[in-house]
Amino acid sequence: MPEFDAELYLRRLGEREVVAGASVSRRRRHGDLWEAASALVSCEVLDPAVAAPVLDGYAVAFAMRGMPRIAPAQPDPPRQPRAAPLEPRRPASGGIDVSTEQLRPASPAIAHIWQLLSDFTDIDPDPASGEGALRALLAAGLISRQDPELEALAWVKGHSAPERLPRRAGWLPAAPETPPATVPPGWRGLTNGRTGAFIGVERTVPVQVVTPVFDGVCIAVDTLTSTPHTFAVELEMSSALPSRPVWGLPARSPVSIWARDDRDNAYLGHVVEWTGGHPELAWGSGTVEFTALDPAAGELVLLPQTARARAVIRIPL
Amino acid sequence: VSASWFSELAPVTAAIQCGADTHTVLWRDGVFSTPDHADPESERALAALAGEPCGCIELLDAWERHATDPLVLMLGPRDREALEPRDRVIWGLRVTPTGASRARGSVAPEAAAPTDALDRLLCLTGEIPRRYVATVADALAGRDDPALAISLEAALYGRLGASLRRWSGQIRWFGLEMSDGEPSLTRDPEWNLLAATLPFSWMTEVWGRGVDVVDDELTLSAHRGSTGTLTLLTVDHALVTHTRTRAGV
Repeated sequence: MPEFDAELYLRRLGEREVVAGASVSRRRRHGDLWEAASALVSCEVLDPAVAAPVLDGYAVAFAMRGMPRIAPAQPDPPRQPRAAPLEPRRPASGGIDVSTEQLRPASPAIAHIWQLLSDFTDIDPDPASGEGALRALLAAGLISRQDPELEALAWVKGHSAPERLPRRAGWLPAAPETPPATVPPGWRGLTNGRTGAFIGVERTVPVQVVTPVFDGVCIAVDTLTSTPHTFAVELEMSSALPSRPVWGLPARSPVSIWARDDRDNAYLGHVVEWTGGHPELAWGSGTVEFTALDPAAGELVLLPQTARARAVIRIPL
Repeated sequence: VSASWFSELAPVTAAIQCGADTHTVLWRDGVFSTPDHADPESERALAALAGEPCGCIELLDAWERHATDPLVLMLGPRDREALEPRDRVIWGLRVTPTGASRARGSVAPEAAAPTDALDRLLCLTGEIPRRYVATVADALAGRDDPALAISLEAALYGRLGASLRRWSGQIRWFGLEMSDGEPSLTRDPEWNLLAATLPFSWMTEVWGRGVDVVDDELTLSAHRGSTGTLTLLTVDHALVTHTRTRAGV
C-alpha cells in the first residue's frame, strides 16, 4: 500500500469538489474538504502550515465557481492562559449533585469523529456529517475498516436525522439491528426516536453550581429554563484548552454539552448566545439550548464533556 | 516552452472592456497578445503617468507574472466551466465593488480583496483560460521539486476528473498514478475504481489540445507526427484501447 500523503489527499479532494461543482457541493456547506483537513490536522498527520494555503486556494477556486463554502485561514482567537476555577455560586436548592469522571480513552481519530458530530458550537442547520473526516482518517490508516467503532457510527447513522449523518453508501458498514456496545450512551438516547418529539413544561430551575476543573475545563451552571419547544441552560465556562483547528469556519470547541434524563432520553446542546470569550475555546458565558425536555422526566443530568473527561451535574426537576 | 502541444491549435480571442472601449486579446501559437495596443511598453508608461490602468495591458502583465505560478492550475478551469472573479462573490451574494451588500458580516477577506488581473484572465470567455493553464503546466513540467510535484499531480487529477465526468457522465472517485510509463486506464478489481496511469504531460498534450474526449472515447495520449497528423491513444467504455489518427485539432 503506498504511503499516505495527507497534502496530496487534501488537494485531490479539493479537485474532486471543484469538478463536482456547485450542483453537488451546495447540498452541504460544510464540505468534505473542511472535514478532512480538520481531521488530519487534529490527528497530527497534516501540518496546519501545509493545510492552510491549500484550503485558502480552494476557497478562492470554489468562490470563482459560485461555490462559496469555505473562507480562507483565520487566526485562532486568543485563548485563556489557564483554566481559572470559576467563582463559587450560592447553592440554589438541595439535591443538585456535581461530580466528574474520566471517559474511556478512544483513539484520537475515533474521538475526533464523535466530537465533530456533537460540537456544541455548531448551530448551522447543515451540521458536519463526519463523512469527510471519516474518509480521510480511513485513507490515512488511522481508522481500520474493521474497527468496532465503525459499527457504532453506522448504527448512529442509521438512527439519526438524515441531516446529521447523510445516508450515503460506502463509507460505513451496514447499520446493525441492535445498538453495538460501542455506541456512546448519549447517542443511544438521542437516537431512540423520542427525543425531539416532546412538548416541554414551562419552568425555570435555579441551579447555581460550579464543577471542579476537569480536563482543563471548569463550568458554572446558573439556571435551567424549560419551554414547550426547548430547554436551555445559562452557563459560564473557563478553559485553557485549544480549539480544534478548522479554517474558514469558526473553530470547533473541545467541549460538547450533553444531557440525559431519567427516562432514557438524551439531548445534545448547541450555543444560541455567547458573550465575553469564545465558545469554540469553551471560554465565556452564554446560553446552550436543547430540544424540549420530556415532561415526565424527574431528573436531568447535564454532561459537559471533553474527549477525556466530563462533569456530571444532577438536577432534580 | 515546447512547441509540440499547441503548434496545430487555431488562434483564439476574447473581448474585454479596456477603458471605455471593447478590445480583443489574442492567443496565437502559444503567445498571448493585445492587438489593440501596438506598443505595450509605451502603454504601460502612459497608464502609470495617467494613473489609469489599461485593461488589456493588465491582462498581458498578469499572463507573464503568473507564467510559472501553480496557483493558475488551482484556480483555472478544469473543463469549460464559466468562472467569475472572486471579488464579486461573497457567500453567494452578488455585491457591488464598494462592498455595499454584506452577508451577516461574514465577509471572507479574500472575497473582499481587489480584483486581481489573474482572475480576469482566468475568467475570460472562450478558450484562452484553458490555453493559459496548459501553458503554465508546460512551464512547470519536469521541475525537480517534490513540493511542486504534489500540486502538479493534483492539477492533473482535477483535469482528468473533469474529462472522466464528461466522458462517463458521472462524478467518480478514481485512482491516479502520475508516471511517465505507459498510459493506461483500467479498473482496480479490489476497489472497483477506475485507475489511471498518466504522465503530467497529459495536461498539455491531451487536455491542452482539447482532445481529452474524442468520439465518446477518453484520450490517454496524443502525439503529432511529422506529417502533421495527430495520433491518439484512446480508451472506450469497455476500457479497450484504440489508436486513432486525426488530421488536426
